[in-house]
Amino acid sequence: MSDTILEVRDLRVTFDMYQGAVQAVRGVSWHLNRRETIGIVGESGCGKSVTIKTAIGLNPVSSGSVKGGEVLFEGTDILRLSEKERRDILGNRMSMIFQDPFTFLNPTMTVGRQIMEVYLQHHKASRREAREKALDILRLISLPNPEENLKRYPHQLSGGMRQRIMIAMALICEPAVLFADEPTTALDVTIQAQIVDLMNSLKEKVDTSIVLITHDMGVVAKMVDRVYVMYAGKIVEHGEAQTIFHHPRHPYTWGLLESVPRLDEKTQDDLPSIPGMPPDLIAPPAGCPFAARCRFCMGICGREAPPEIRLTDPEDGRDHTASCWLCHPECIARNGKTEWRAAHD
Amino acid sequence: MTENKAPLLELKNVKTVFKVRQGLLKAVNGVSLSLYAGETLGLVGESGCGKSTLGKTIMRLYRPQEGEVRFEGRDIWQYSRREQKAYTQMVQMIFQDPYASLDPLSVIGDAVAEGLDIHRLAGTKKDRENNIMALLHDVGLNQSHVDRYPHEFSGGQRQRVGIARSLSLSPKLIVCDEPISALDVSIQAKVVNLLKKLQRENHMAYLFITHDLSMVRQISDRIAVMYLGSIVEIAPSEDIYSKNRHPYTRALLSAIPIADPTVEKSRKRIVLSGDVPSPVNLPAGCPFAGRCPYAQEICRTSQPQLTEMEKDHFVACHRADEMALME
Repeated sequence: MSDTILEVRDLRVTFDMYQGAVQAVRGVSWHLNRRETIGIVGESGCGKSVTIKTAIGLNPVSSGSVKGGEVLFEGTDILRLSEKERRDILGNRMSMIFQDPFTFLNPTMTVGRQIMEVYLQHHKASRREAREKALDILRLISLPNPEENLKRYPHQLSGGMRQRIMIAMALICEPAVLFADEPTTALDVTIQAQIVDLMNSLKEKVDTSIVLITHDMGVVAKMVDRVYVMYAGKIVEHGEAQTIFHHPRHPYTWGLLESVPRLDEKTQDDLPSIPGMPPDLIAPPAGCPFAARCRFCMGICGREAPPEIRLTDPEDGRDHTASCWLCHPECIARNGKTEWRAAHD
Repeated sequence: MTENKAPLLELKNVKTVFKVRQGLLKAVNGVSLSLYAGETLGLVGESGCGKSTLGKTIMRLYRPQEGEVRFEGRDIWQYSRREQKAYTQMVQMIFQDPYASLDPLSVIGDAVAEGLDIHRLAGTKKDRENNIMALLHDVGLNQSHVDRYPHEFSGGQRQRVGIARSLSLSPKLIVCDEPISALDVSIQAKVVNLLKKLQRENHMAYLFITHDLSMVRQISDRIAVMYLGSIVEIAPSEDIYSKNRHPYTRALLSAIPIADPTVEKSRKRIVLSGDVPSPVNLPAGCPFAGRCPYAQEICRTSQPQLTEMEKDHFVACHRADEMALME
């Protein structure tokens, strides 16, 4: 992995509501390298969708909700582009696959027209060329009978096929970055397996980097190179997928991994779960946002937010950070290292 | 395991059919199964396989075209008026979407007590109040929530309200139609744990409908796998995972990603091509033949019947004997 194609720096997003300002994203930084897939995981309401919607420019500074930070795509700040400049990038150099293929396709247009529309928007091309291009992309994603299916309306297609159409629309301009917001959550497991395989193979064929948002740790294990774990508007842990699954250091990551039942393991009596609820982001707690739900909570956790602590990875020495006082050198010196004992270790 | 006991619920060759423009849609196409008191039967399948229709057929919401549904030995379509009402008390349902299944204009207390009110079980106002409070306590909701409206709750909390509603009439059977699929993973675990706890305390049976093969293992005693309106395999829970015989069960299991990148890389998988075919005008033969990697001539001409391969382990596959040898 080499150069960075997209970088988010200290992003802050706040939405004004009747009850007060909701601090949805509270200082998030991440980067995406060329030909890499990163995963952003977390429970609903942790700010993961807001982060990528802002990163793709759907939530520009002019909307007033972005309170700070920058999103650098190939060196330019997406948040501060003019409307026209933004449109040139959106759907062309960066595109997005949404969760629900049932609501994001236009029911009154054939899928062929919808795919071609994206291409015609960004290229000076004839309709014939656009149609050729659409057929190419449908063959690439191995949709059966592409010529027939171009003439169909969304309601005539199954869920898996609609999600393929969404992927075709996102890929027709060969974007450098593809955002996928829970791309398989609405699909059946066998169809999910097809879509995951498809996205993995496309990364090579189209030369795209992928930002994947999901709460399914299984899909993360199949697709992702690096993982960012988000909680209450912040990144609490980041590392290579191997590291996050085998040597996680943040108690929230432990909880997330424990609550996923695994097919290759015997059942326990009760599934472990994380007690309590995520904090209210109108008035986020002063200390660590996870303190109230954490079984390792110490005195300092309630008072002061933990810094991002760099950890060396026992496997390969690659980047691994966790925002948790348990990882602080002073805490380790005093109490020893708190390790996660997973059922399968 | 429960041969000497009479089943609580018994389905015999049930067919639920809908008329559509293109012909007849056989959503449930000849299902026979039994459910015993206090047991959890998991019903697993992809969308469109007829699992929800089967659940609603059991609820007496759809009338099957053929076959019969027997509850405690009596056909539910032979019931008198009074028996019908008693049936709605003994059999309850938990719905998939906790956002759509609660009335936004009714406070939680009234929503929970609706069943009590309809069946006039509450007695005095004080009794009603006590009942509601006990139910909220059982499902782990704060009793001060009784005056709140559904929009003030999170998805997990709303699902708890749905569970409290279904418990209010002390049913013998609860049909849970995808009760956890709309929830976050960490909340899913909590709801499953709650359902298990309530079953230990109240000894009711669950029909647990889901498409999630990893979660259903946590709660089920037996699991039935459904495909295109037919049950293709039914066995004690652990057998479905370790001794499965049907190619569709295997494909379903192998499609689920495991949350471990190392395991995931070394895993052999069966990826099914294509989609589930339309249940309108079903072909003759095995419903799975079109997508099955092991299909032979016989699979396309005659439909395999559920056969007991081992104790309590039934498979509908012409090649079930060979499947046991293939790993």
